[in-house]
Amino acid sequence: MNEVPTFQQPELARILFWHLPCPIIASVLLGLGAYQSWLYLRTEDLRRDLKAIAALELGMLFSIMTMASGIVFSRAQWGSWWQNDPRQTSFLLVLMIYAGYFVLRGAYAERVRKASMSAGYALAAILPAMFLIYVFPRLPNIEGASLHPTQSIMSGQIRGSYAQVLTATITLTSILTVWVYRIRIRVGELELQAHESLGLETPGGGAAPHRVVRPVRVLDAGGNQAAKGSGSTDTAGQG
Amino acid sequence: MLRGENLGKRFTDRWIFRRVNFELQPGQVLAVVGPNGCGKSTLLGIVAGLIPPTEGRVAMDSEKFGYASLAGELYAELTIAEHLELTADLRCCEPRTTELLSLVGLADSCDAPARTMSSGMRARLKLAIAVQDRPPLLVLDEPGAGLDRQGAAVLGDVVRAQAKGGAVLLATNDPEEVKLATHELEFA
Amino acid sequence: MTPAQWRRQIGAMLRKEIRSEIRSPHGLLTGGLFGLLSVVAIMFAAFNMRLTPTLAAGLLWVIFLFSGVAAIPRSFIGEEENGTADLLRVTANPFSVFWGKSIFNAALTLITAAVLTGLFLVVMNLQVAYPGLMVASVLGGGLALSGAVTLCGALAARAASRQALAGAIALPLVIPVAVWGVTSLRVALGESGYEVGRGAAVGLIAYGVASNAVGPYIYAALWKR
Repeated sequence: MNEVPTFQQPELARILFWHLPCPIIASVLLGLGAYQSWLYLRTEDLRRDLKAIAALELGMLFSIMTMASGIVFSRAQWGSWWQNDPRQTSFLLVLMIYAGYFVLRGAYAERVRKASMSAGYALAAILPAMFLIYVFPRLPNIEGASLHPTQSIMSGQIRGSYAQVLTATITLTSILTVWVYRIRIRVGELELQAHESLGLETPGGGAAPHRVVRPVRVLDAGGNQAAKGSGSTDTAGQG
Repeated sequence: MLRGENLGKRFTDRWIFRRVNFELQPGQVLAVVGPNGCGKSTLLGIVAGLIPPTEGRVAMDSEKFGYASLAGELYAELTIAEHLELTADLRCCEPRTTELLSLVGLADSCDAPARTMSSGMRARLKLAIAVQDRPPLLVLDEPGAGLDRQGAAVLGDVVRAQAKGGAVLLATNDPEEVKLATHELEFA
Repeated sequence: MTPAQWRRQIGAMLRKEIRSEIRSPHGLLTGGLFGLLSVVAIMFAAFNMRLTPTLAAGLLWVIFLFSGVAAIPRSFIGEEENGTADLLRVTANPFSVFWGKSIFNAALTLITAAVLTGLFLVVMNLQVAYPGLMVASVLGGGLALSGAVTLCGALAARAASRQALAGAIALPLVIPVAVWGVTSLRVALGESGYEVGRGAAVGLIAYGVASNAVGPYIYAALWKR
């Protein structure tokens, strides 16, 4: 029995086990990245930015895997690596949108500004990205022109052992994704801690002994120390 | 009126200052003094809300304040009068163009585009923009740079007038401007 | 704020942009010249060819996209490069600034698009089957481009290589707009499927409204960071 009737060579349908979970997980991660970006802009908590970048890095990875597996399938199913198919092109555009996120992030050196601007872009990007993934391929003039199957799952065209393996790969890939996501967040937290303790600080928060710290005083008109006012400046690194 | 609590600013891996605390009351003029690069402009930028602090916070009784900075630029294609008209519309306040230009000594140049102005004229216009909305607090970052003797006198008049009901936070290296202050915050 | 105050603030930003552009027309020249060169390049590539409505619509939208992306981000990038951004930050509110600039950019884009479209139609000897749809398509496209690209200009304004960066991050966001734009424009140029074309024009206008509605909120969150 042909368990995947829409595929010209049913054994090629095994690409589905890798190809199908990738865009599903990628779009979830892209949504999660946008959500964490929104939370960052609300709370200014850099840990939210960490979660956003972790989600978007993984989302980008799964998007690349979607494209790669799709290109391999295109070669096997239709004889050429690139069909100029609307679905292929629209997903390539999603990749480019998220490449823009990383380019923007790399253009800022200062941590807070980097996080803020990239959060703004992630929020601006989510609508066109979701349009390209979910709406565009289903537009009437696009769906008819695309070779990419759209109804394989919804119309129950994947049956039997294929359906079981597909369910298993989606589940296992999701678990793996959550695990990698948590590791990435942990790495980011350690980097953030290292960054915050870089330079002058001792573990107790005071100035490191080899740096000169000059006092900041508030003086009144008579040149006397005013009742309120204090601070310190670090002069290390100044000419 | 203005309180800086435990303010600190770091750029990438270098702290400019930490644990800076100060309080400014109505009637006071606080001069922030210190060598070049010590963080005076950064502190004023934090108070004006232009630079986010790495730690600490600024507390102000009112959100309304006037700000003038040496580093800030004007619109090259707009005239002096158009600048005041623009800022008045953005603040939804009265432009007071004639009054302000007389105050800062620019009444004869109101139709001159900003790109034809000298640095001293630009400094005067920035001062006029800062006081336009009659703010309770003035934040002035090296306001006297480029000013001639008359301009310096104008600055002194503005600061003294402001101090009567409000307050001034002033960053400067000019000893004459420091004399206008009632208090000093010294980044030694 | 009252509606009168909103109008005053947005009007002030718009007047400032118009005055600056009239006295020093960088935006119009940049976008216009870029678009004009694109039309001439297509003329060279397509001489003696008769373009189909689909191809013509696609080429015209490529011109719109690239000339828009070249000119629009200047509105925020120019403020940072000229050092005037802080003046806005201490006197204005971010919504008024964004809407003022976005309205100006939309007007600039529409003027450029109208001129380039007219030129393109003439030199390529194209007939317009549905003038109303063509106008709606160009209007919607201008609105959609201005909202998204203005925001990208704001995001890139304080970065290194800001002009190129603004274009690089804006283009992927507005190419989906081009999908609707090409669909509506090709129908306007005589392709069949009026309902699809009209739907695409509505989508363009809706995207334009959405990007100009959401853009200021994102900009406001980044205003002083």
